Amino acid sequence: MIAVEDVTYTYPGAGSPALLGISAVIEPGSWTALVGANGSGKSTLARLLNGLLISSEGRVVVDGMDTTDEDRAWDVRSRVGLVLQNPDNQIVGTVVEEDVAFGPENLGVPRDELRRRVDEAIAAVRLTGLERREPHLLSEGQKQRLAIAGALAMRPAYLVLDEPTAMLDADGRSDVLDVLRELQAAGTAIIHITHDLAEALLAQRVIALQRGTIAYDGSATALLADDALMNALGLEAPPIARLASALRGAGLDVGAARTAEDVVEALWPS
Amino acid sequence: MRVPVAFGQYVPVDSPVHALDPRTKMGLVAAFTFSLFLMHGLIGLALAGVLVAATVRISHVPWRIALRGTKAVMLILVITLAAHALRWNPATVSLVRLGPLAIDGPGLLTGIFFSARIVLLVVGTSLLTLTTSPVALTDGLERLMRPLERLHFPASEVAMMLTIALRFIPTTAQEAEKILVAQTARGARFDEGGPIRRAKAFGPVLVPLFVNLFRRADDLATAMESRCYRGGVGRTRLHESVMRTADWAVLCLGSIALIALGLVL
Ligand SMILES: Nc1ncnc2c1ncn2[C@@H]1O[C@H](COP(=O)(O)OP(=O)(O)OP(=O)(O)O)[C@@H](O)[C@H]1O
Ligand SMILES: [Mg+2]
Repeated sequence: MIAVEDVTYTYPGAGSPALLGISAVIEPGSWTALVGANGSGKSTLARLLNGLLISSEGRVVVDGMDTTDEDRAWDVRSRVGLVLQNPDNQIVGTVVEEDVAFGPENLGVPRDELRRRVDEAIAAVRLTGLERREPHLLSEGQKQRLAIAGALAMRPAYLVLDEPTAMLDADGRSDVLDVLRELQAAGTAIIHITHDLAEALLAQRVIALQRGTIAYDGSATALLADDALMNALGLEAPPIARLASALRGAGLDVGAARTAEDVVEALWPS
Repeated sequence: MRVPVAFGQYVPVDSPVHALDPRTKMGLVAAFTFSLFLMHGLIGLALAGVLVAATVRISHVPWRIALRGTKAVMLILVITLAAHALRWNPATVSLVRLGPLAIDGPGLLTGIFFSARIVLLVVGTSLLTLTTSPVALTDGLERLMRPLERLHFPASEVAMMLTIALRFIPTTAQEAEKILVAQTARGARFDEGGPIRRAKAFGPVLVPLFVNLFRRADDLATAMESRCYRGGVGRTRLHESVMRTADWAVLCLGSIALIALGLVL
């Protein structure tokens, strides 16, 4: 469990806080989407979760470890993996397997265990066979999955992804999302920062930030149904949600439709 | 866009030379260089030439590539040869005479000796980088520098810097290419005017390139910290080159033989 307790964070030298009085609990194995306009504080919150930033007020506790506790800093970071938007900027190794090994190498994991972790992580993101490939020869989607593998090799219980699909094409995007689904099924909690509400629909829970505070915390469908709130948050409903709400307006309730198949199923039950 | 970036000169094939530990090869190259400077006769150099040729054969490096390094020193070779062999109006007997210009026999031999030594030096040492991948090379360097850690020399940090530089050379090259294309599309010309004008044209390429590099560095620091990087202390390695018995044998016997050769011939 990650407990964010009344956290306020002000960047050094900044006039106003980037986050103000945030409280939330992230359960193990859950899938949370974090949405909000540019500058609302999503990335800042992500960096607070793994102790890269330390809150000015309040505290973040990861499975009982306070992120301010310097002795546990490395435990916290290996427990909460962080994947950034641009895959190119976070790949350290000169070949795929060297990069995946980077995290556990830093943790001082012995060699045979290292090998096992690296192979597992590479398999989990479906890059098996590309172990010796140089990163710059991978597609963007493969690079982003490599970045995920790099975090996975540390065996995190929570994986925070800061707009992991923003730079990918449709194929790369769906590959990454498939991997995330599999990871969650295997028990890793996913905290997915995104601007794309269609992606947020994958989550059980959506947290929306607005100017550093939590403006919404609940299910994706309830958020999508609330047009006023959506407008206030500057969020745009994905086409499928707009279709569902139009149908609802016409007296056809299709329920919590996430995909076109859901709508078809609701209208013409098979 | 995929730019094929073949930096360095590594020839990725399998051979007994490739399989040697980078440290073995570094040691041998050092011994070879030392030996070349000890030698004072053409017989020694001839033998060294045979050794280099044999190594090239065993390493499966194409001759064209193995000899590529000599192109860069061609001018030096010509000057060396000329300085030793050519005489202006000599009083002594000489080999060939063309007006006042003459080629001096013993001088020519000395010239050949010095030029051959340069060629051997270039070809011999380039075999190290031709048969060792940049990654293995960095790794070998780190292992060589490791004893210096006791003197507080940051060996593994230096190796990490080299690794990251190696990692980002192709990425940066790709990015430069992209910016170049983008600026060309906006009407920038890189092939016009004198050298100064051309150099200036690269400003609009270099500025965004550097801005991006700094942004990259920022992200990279975040990523490395997130993945628990805390310097070299307590770090293990997925691949660590190990000096096998064969390595020690090749290194010891090879260096002794090379030095002995240098002393005798
Ligand atoms: N290093 C920094 N120093 C000072 N202020 C910063 C820094 N990084 C972010 N901020 C500010 O903190 C606030 C929150 O930024 P943050 O990057 O967390 O937003 P975000 O929700 O991730 O936005 P985006 O959608 O653009 O990624 C913004 O007002 C931003 O200007
Ligand atoms: Mg952000």
